[in-house]
Amino acid sequence: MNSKDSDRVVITGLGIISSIGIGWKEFWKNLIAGKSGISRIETFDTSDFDRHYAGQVKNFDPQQFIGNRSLSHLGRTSQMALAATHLAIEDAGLSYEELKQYRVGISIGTTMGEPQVLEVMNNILIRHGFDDVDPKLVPVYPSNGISASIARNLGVTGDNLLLANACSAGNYSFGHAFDNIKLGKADLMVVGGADSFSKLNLVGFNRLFAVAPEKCQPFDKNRKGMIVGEGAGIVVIETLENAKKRGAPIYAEILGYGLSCDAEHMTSPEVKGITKAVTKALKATGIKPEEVDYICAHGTGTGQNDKNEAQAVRNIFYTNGHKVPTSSIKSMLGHTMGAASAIEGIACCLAIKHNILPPTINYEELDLECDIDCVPNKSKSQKTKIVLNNSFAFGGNNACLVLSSIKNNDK
Amino acid sequence: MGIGKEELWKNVLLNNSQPVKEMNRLDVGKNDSFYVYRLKRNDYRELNRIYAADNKKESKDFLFLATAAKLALVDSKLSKEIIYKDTVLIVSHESPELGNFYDLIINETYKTKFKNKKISKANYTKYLYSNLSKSAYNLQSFMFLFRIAKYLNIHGFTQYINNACASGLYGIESASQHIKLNKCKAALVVAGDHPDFYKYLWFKRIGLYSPNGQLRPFDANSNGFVFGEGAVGIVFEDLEHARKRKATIYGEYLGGGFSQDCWKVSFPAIKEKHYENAFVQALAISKIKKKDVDLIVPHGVGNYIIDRFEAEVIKNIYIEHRLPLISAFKPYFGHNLGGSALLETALLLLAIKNRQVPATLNIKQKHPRINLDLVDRNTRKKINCAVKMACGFAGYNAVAVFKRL
Repeated sequence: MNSKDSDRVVITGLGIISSIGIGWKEFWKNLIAGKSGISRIETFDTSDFDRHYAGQVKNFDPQQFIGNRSLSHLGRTSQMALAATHLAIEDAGLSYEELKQYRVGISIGTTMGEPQVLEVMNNILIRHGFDDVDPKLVPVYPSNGISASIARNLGVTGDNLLLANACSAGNYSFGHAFDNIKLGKADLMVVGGADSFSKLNLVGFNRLFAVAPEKCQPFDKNRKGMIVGEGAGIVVIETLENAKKRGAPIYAEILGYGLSCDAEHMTSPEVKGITKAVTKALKATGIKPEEVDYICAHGTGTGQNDKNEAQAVRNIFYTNGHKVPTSSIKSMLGHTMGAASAIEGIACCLAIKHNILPPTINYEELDLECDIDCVPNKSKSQKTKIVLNNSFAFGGNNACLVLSSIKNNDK
Repeated sequence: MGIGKEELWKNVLLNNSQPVKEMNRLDVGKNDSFYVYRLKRNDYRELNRIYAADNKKESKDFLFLATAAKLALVDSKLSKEIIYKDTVLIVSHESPELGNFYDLIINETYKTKFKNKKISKANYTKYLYSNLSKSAYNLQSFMFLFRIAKYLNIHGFTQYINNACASGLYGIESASQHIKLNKCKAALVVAGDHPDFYKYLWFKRIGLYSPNGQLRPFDANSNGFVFGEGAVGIVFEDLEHARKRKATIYGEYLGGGFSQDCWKVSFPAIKEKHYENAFVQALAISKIKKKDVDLIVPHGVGNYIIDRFEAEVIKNIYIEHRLPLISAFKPYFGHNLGGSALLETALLLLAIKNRQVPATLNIKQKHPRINLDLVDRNTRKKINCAVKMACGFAGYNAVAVFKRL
């Protein structure tokens, strides 16, 4: 046994609920084909709004994953998180009985948690008054219910943390879980992010004039904003030693991460803050900029985010003619908020596994302020060893995760 | 109990704290009242003075957190450079701005009904969304993270934790982890709540709220808890760093134990050992023997079943040992929900520093089935080691161990 294997943290199971696929195989097939999950909103009447498109998960049947009894106590975000958890555990080759042998922790990120529950309560309240609001609905709203419901469903009584760091919450959860495994606080961590689409999200983002009319065009000259999406991305992480012992599939190694806080502008990430998070991540992992093969961008499709992210990427990585491909899968999924960086983390794992980089679709015209290789419109085959997963959320929550392939002789 | 640590400690030792009764409008011609621990009018003035932001009207949720964070940083005497570059901000709050959001919904609904406007249901929802979108957007947790970081010029990184009423202890553990991993020099953990009428309505419906405003933990006459508003900030840093800069040290965080009930949202798993396991784990990680614990501050919510369960946990741990002093602090400032565990930890640290254990207020008669002796008067004692417990909703259990230095 390599003694260092116990210090190395690897990803061994992927679970995803997204608008372009449920389960990583369908997701990946559609992702590299450049298929868009953006469609006209059907869950509520949008005639009162000037925006009508979202990245909704339309073929998700929670009953496939969760028993009827539990369903009534769960909001849509928890349902998607739980379904993704089951997929990840199955993918990791773990049985529920086997889970009991390990000290399992849970770390989940989200933005608002269960906004749809709030909407249901509001509608009842407005139309019928407080007395008609079902008291069982109230405890479904707090975001801490997401990670608690995963624990309850799996019977996992270990450490459990709910992080609400806006649209970077997934990466923050990866970071926390990585530290927990490194410190020996848990043998396995169920990690990721989840968020559901709601009228509240649409209204909130639209109020900021941040929502595009029909499509998301990250880094394009004519980009008009983001598209609100939803979904869940959950992974299983453990030490390399444990993964080898179990004969688990190893998708990638987590080398480390970097966090920073802008505290400059509520909705626009700053070049300085982005640079700080990325350079902290590189420093923590000992990776040189020229060693990075691919960056999964935050790339929301908003004017300011893409411009600043592109500038930071250029400053750090575009030296001596070296150009790191940097694509945004939000062009296909929309912005899945608290799930975004978790789903993008899964895309990074799959890019490493298949040596294929997912594209930025809807790319039409070069913006000189975003002059990066955004893998325009078509996926690209390329040997991919070191990958960065960027997330730069509202409120100045910047996070960058560094993933690496496992060398063949390490498997 | 006042603004700032001195006033808090002074008022706590007076052993005199009472909630106020508030009347709230529920609908046209429909009111309800509830008891709640509020800040005094002068306290609000003082908060605004400390916050000092050009008469800008802030929500209570934000004002409490921002001011508590500022007071903690001022008290820590950390340099501006460390605060700017090397401090992590950790914020805990269960449902930021939800009360204000509901206030607006109710007021808009009331206004429309009162004026007898002819408005269809569909249009009314549209009307509300167009009028309340700003307030709805404020429900996002990152607002507080960003605004507090900006207000205090913190540029390390930030973290928002929501683990129900145990959030504060999870926040402390996270702070400790970041410091140990050398990700920052200092961590400011801030937690608080402005419990509103709407949360009260729910707790009343599930029978957990005291109808007469008497929060009596572990007592024979307990009938539920009472909300309390406020917030607290605590600064953590590496011991060597604190000693080097000659900082005032209130105590050392030795470690914590954490578990999940995997049971109900609003009730602990009383037949299981998860809460007890968190206690055992906390002692093991802290390398503290149970006999060396001088003080336990339990969650102590004033509900018979939860209190009895918590008392059983403590008694099971100490089955062959004499119990340490036990004092429940919620009757001083009410149940501060997401901020409660951190608020009570701050008082615990002051008890360590001042060598005095504040009494548990409102205790009249020991419950024969709970049978837990509590500190019934302020007691002078050197506390070398103290334990804070919290069993939050959704099954979040946390136990933290602190040591005098």
